[in-house]
Amino acid sequence: MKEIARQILNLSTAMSALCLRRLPAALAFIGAAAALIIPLLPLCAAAAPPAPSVQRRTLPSGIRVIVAEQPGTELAALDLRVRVGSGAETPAENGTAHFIEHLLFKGTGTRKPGEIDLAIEKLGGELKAQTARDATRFAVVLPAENWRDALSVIADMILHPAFRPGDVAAEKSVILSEMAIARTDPMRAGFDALAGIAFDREDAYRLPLMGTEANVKAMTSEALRTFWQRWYRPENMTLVIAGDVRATEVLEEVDRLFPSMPLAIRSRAGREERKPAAPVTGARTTIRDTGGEDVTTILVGFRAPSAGTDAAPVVAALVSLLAERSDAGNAQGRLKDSLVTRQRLALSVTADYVAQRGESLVIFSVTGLRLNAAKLENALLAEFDKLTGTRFTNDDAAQARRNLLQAQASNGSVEDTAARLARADILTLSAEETDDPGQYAARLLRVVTPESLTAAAGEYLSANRGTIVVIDPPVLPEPPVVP
Amino acid sequence: MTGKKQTLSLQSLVSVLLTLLLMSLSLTALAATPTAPEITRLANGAKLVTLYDPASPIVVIDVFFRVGMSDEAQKPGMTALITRAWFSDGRFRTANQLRRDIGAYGSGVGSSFGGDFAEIWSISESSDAAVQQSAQTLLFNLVASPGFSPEAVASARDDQLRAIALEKANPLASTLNRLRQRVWFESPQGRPLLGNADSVSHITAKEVQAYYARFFRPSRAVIVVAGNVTSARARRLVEQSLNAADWSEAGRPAAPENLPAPEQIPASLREVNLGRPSPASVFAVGYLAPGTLKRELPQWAALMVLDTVLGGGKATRLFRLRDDLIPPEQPVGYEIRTLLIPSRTQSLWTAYVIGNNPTEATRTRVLALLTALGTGAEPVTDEELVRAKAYLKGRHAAERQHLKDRSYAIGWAETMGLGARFESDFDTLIEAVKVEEVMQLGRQMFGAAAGAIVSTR
Repeated sequence: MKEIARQILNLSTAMSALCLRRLPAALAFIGAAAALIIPLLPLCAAAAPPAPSVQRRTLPSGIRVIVAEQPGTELAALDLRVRVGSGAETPAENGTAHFIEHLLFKGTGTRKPGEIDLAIEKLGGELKAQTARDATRFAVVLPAENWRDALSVIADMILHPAFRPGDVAAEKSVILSEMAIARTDPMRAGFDALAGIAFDREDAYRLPLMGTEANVKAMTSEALRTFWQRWYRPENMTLVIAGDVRATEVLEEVDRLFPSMPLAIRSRAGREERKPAAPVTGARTTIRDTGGEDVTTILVGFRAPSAGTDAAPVVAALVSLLAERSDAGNAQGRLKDSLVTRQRLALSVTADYVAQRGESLVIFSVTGLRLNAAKLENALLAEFDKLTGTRFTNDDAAQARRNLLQAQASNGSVEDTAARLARADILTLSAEETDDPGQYAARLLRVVTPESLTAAAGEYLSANRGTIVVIDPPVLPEPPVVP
Repeated sequence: MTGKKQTLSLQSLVSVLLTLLLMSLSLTALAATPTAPEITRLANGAKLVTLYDPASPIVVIDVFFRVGMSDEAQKPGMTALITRAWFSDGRFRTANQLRRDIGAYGSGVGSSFGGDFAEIWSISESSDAAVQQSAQTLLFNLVASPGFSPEAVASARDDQLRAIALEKANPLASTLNRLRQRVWFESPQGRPLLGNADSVSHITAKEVQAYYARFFRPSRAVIVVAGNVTSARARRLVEQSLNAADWSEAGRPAAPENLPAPEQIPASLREVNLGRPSPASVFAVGYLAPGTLKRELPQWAALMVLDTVLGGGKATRLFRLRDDLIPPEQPVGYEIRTLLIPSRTQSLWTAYVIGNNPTEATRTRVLALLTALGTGAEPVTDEELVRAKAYLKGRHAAERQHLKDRSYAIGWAETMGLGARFESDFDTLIEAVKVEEVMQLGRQMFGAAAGAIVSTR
């Protein structure tokens, strides 16, 4: 039961940035409580980093392969990322990347629906997939002796999808169901709404992750295949395998399973070539569609620098001082101290720094009782007003650096190691800093200072730059009049 | 001045990094050198489980109590409240002193709870001084001499009331809470784990202290010490810390352990509709299942296999209902899973579906699928059994990569009555499950017995 609670803690963060497929919904309150954890040093021992030997190689087909050898773990984690997500779509294509992520599970020329899942689960793993704005991810962890068989199934699934019209038609109802669930989740619904008003009209980051209902209903196998041909190419993929494996064997096997593909349709320009537009300021919208009966969630979003820049860790550090990350258990933050503990207006406060290849997004989320909603929104905005004039101290900077180191550290599991390496590759973060926490720490020491925090607060998180989404409960029908 | 500050900060960062490297060694070594747990009984009645791993540079001390809903009587939510208030103070230590103590020796402390247990743990480096301090803080100051001052309880109460409000806003949590109530009709197991706003808001510090003294006692405790500590040294450490606080059964009011009698789901309570307007509907069906007491151990292994055949993973009967078998004009939903909520005498097994589709059609299909298994019309196949076993063993290994996860799993199994052997012999026990045992369980659960059903619209 504890596993469920833990999954949920992880899930809530991921949901803000990713469209998760086939994972249990939030069950935080059933069966067992989430652990109340008080990490007093910068790192909980249960969250230790790995010291794997990491090798990177680009094979002749163009696929980037990263192998992290962790001998003795007896497990292997496979994490394949295709550099395409909703951030690469046009409005007409919007939803296609997510639809393809679903359809790939439906089979290949030689595998019928259900057979991919069956093959992987007979090997002791469960294949999971997620679509984000910058990439689509397929990941599994399983006993190490089965990594070759699992990779063979995944390669077949990715490179030889069937896209049968009957499967496309059947999957539409599944995706429409998923979209309905997303509308009941304040973070998922709120993230799409925030992105929709925070980003420039021409920016694909503005588009909803799963597309529109109209696009989903109109999807055809031809459209899916065309999009797949453009983006699902080895040179557009990064594969990470971490665990009890040998790099030489992995490279040989990947080379065999992911051959070069003839160029059928040219890829469009990557989003890093686009220039950021002027920020949208002061926009506000209300969604009245969630499942919560008595609570209102208010999200405030700020556009932030791209993940690979020196300014990114400064903003992330600032966010860590203000509020707990949504997966950080019981950690404290200034907003929580003020809105939950002192003013008693909020039930919870979380923050996410959603790192992206283009501009990133910082999202603060506060949930409170519906009757306090107006006061809560005013109090939250007042906190950002105060922030602009705040002068941060050396202690603040040291605390922020510790927070970031803790967030960056791997918990040492094979799947976390693989995910961390794959994410860094997609976001084009420095390989040296990803592999060597010492180098990352040195950069933090250089860039996260009282002065940079003070400047970033004024530049990125001033109240007038925030976009606001208020998520209200649905309008309830009037109760019947009882005579 | 700035230069000096930066040097100090750099030292602090380097120290963090060294700690990180140290920890990583334990993780890799751990998986390669599994150790069998040793179980002994202390003089005060507590059970001690040790898991020696000489390669691990960390030590986990994990204390479980068999306490929960059956003991809460008119104060539902009390056990959860204690796990929130535990770290606020001690009888001999203020909150700040506790914080300093913990900061001095290690990496973290935490607590959790379920329907039948409460847990508190501490992790330290494996040096003598660190382990000594960890044991003293966790066992002497928190377990044997907790504070529960009015201020600490008030703060925990506020936290819990906030959690209750958030739970109420979550459609799936509300559905499953109601399902508990329907399935465990007359049992305290049917109450929400967090309690309700009315009961929690009236819990006083005196009541917390009395409840703790009565139920959080040695005879109900399982203490796990895992890591680079021999069994003999672990025993000495634990006894020193607990004896110093005179933590014993003496002078405590009687607290016989209540094991709720097995129940049948009353037919008149089978179905309820919560009527929550929402774009997504939830449908859940629950059945009583075997408990976790040791006498049912083979049944528990068979239950895990049955649960996996039906809903563990995606190549399952329920998930295939969504993906492969239903024509597009008759959609089922998006998320189709099962959930096993363990309890000592009787567990709750549930299947749930979330989606935007009509509940009636979904309900019919899910119930037909379970009935087909219950009547034997659709027997479990060899291929299903092979997949379920491989899936369970793979997940078991993947979820125990950290020493803390292993100490939790062993402590939980011992506390719930399965016994530590269930953890150490997991693969063997799962591999030994036969198709006939799974089918027998299916008949028992879905054949004659009625399920309880909760939906949101």
